[in-house]
Amino acid sequence: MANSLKVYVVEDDTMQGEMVKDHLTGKGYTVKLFNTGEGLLKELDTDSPDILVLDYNLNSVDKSAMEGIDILKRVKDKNDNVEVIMYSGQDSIDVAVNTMRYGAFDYIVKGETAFSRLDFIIGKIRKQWEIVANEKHYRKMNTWLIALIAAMVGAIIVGVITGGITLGS
Amino acid sequence: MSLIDLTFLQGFTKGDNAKMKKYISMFLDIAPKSITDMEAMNQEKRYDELKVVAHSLKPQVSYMGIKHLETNIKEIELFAGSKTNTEQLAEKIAYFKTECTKACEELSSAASKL
Repeated sequence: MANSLKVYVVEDDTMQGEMVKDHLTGKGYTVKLFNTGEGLLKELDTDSPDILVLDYNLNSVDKSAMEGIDILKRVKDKNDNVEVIMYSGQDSIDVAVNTMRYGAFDYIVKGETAFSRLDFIIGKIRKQWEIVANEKHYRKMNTWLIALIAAMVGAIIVGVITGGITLGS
Repeated sequence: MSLIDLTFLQGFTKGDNAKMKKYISMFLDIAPKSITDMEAMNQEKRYDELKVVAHSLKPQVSYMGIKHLETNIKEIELFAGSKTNTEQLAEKIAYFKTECTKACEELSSAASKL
């Protein structure tokens, strides 16, 4: 997947959104910024990201806007393969646990360290994808190997029956 | 003594002056409006809304390196969110306003030199 990763960011705070977008673009990812969760959900009808960075509090500008946790549930319902990183200014275990319960991969607290933490978590997600891909590969190899052994055993049995293969004393 | 410390912003933008200017200018737009909002919300006892505004300002204050206001804005968020010590909010907001206004002047001057 190299750096061709597609990352969507949902953030209603203009400055914060711009900073996350610039940071991820600088890492070589394709980034799309949405200032509402509703905008993201509309986009998900036609396209989907690999990773979603989702703000927990999405109603600081528009009070009627859907909250991050509701968007998280909807995104996971639509496409469970999208890994969601929630982020918020709230350094709260309860908030973090709540987001994980609904399928978020991890939780970041906004602030100066948020950007390096974001890099770390994206690295973790990519490693997890690599492990899953390797597992799939080995499982496929295993199936081939079993089929090959079965074919060889079958051929030996046929050979023995037809006299083509003579077993030693 | 300077009220701002642009070390984080310089590192974050990798010294890209255009980006630094962009973020500073965003903060200079947001901060005065947020302060006016916080004052009105406190007067009208709209504490939940006040909490949201303080919550948004909190990381931005940190990005601009206005270190001495970090605890102050956290307290505004906390008091408004828990609706405790609300009698202290006016004073905390007034302090934030005075100090943030001075910091904004410094930011504006720093941006003009970039």
